Amino acid sequence: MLEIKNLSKTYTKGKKAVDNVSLVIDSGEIFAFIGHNGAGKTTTIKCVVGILDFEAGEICIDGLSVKKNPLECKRKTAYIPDNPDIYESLTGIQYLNFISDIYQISQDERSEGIKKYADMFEITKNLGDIISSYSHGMKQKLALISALIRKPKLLILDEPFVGLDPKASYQVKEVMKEMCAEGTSIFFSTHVLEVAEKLCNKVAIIKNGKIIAVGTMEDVRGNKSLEDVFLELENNA
Amino acid sequence: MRNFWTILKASLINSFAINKLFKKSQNRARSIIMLIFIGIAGLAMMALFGVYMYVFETAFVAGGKPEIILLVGIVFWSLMSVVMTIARANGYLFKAKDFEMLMALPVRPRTIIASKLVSLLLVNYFIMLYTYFPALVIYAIFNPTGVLFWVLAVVAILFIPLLPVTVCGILAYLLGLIPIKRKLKNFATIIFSLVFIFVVMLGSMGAEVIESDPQGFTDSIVNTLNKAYFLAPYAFSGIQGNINHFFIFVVISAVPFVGFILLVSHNYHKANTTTVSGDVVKDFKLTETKVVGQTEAIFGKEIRKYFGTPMYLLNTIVGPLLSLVMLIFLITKTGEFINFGEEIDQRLFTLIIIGLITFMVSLTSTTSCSLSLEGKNFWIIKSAPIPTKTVFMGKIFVNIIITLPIIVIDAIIAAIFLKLDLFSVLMIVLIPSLFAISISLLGLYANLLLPRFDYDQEIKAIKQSMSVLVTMAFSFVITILLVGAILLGFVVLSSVSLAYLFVTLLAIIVTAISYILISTHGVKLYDQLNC
Repeated sequence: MLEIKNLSKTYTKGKKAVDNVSLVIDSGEIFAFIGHNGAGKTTTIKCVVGILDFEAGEICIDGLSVKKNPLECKRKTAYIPDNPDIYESLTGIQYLNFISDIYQISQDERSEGIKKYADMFEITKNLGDIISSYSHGMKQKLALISALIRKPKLLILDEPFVGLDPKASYQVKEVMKEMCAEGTSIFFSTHVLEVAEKLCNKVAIIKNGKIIAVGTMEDVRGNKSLEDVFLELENNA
Repeated sequence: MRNFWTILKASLINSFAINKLFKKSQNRARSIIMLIFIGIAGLAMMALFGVYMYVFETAFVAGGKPEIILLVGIVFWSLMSVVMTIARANGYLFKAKDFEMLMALPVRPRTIIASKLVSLLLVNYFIMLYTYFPALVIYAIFNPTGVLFWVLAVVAILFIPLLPVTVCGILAYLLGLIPIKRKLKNFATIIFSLVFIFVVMLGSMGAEVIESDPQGFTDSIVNTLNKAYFLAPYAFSGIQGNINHFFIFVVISAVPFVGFILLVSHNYHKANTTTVSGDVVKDFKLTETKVVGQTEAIFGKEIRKYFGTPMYLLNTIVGPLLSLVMLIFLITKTGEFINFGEEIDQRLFTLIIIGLITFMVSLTSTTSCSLSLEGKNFWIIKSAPIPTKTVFMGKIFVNIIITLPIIVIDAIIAAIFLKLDLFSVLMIVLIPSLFAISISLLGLYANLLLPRFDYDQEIKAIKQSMSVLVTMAFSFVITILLVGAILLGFVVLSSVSLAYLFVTLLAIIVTAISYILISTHGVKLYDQLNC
């Protein structure tokens, strides 16, 4: 579903934020992307979702190049950034309708999706409020709903559990498993290694823009905890 | 006191992006170039205001009251302080992004509010360079001055903007306390500001009596200025040596300022939280929603943004509105002597109207900062499956829907009051409309060339961004080309018909070039934008 081949991204003065990164995520897989702050996780994700341009490598979603077919790729993808800045002057429902219109989601589908996920995240009664009055967690939930109602083939989340209450975190994990069972691929960055360990089929560890470990959770972890492996790699690589 | 300076310093460094000037990066060079550009434009503006003051002063000298120019400077500065502060006060004092961060610090609310008020005042001291300062210089040229005058004139600088800033702060505070809907607040702000702009425009139109009756003009100005701002006469006579009046001016300026700080510091939390509570709906029920197409959704988003951001609307609708005001002015001042077919050629007069409307409607463009206004939300449209041209169309659409109706109204007014023929009316609609489309495209292109998404306040993107200045430069170039086309046809080749032909060709060529530019290089620039 997602294939990243030799991706490199340089910001300024030759400093590579992402250096020759390659990853493959198949349909129905949950893939954790971990690394310290500034390692290159968000840059990689932004390149995948078409927010950042990149100078080398190739990214394909469902066999389509994000450079050559950006719109087709975006239609198959839903992305939630780590700090979802959304149109603060809109109400929650206006934002969801805006996203639904952009992704051309039918009336029935959107009504069903909004109801299902807004009830799940206990945010239905707040959908008429201006987004600027939302807490960080509520904005995060709204952004998640906007992603889930699209029924994407590829769901990309940057630190999805930051700011969510425990119940919402649990529900997000359950939704991720459910989507995965239906064939959706999920690629997410996180610092919560326990979650990655329990939830994911595959994992990649990135350091200073380079992948230092990648594979199935069992292969990368061996008989240790993911935290031990991560710390060892961080200290030695 | 130490906390006050610390907060003020951090706030100023953040607001004016001072670090970017000293940090070695690509942006540094751009910031320095922008600073030089703004500096030159600022000096030119100062000279322009100096000339403007000088023109007024010659009338005051003829009217026997050369000292009145100082009163003009004081009132002008005070009114400009109101205009500049009213827009920023609510967002800066009470709904600031740094509210939670500052309130979490071991700092008294009054220290925070004082630092914010002083920060607002600094902008007003900058405005002084265009208002009070040229008036003071012109005053000194035409009136005798002594040491006491200069001491009082300099001390007055500290106090003149205090009351206007305090009044704006109180208005923002009261508005913040009322839990009314944001839409209603925006509507009230827009209506209040438009009325204010119209009153100032209509007031400045009275200047036509300068030549015919300088004495009457001077008296009417003094009368108007005294009514415009009650404290100005005290400052005026105080600076001229009336110590009692100067004392009254200082006390009335300073006491409310300090009082406001003390009052707000007690209710700072309430003022900040009430504003948000007005955005909350009780008993929201999820109902079926209207489904629209992608393009319509983008248009809707842009329209909501435009009408939901009063400062965006007010700053970009000024040009088209001015076209209306100037046209009415032109008609009322020339209607008495225009007799088409004898002295003045109707077609030539139509060309003048076309030039005037074109200049006014292309002076401001909503597109010149529309991408920058996406700010941190830019990821939403950048990651959505929206064709780049649809994004562009949404932004261009806003400028077109505010300019074209006003152009049509202009044409109807001209048709009715000047009894123009159908051809002239059609040309008044066609040519300025084509140039309005061009400037919409060029404004967007300028923003693509000079994008910036990190403004901490939207007003800075609207008023201070380089792309807005570049778009204004495009507008001047268009006007110069238009005047050139008219002169080439009418003066050089002595043919009004050829003048029309050249103007029409120019409009088509400029629009075509703008379209090609945006749909080729513009699309590439958009795809390369990082956020």
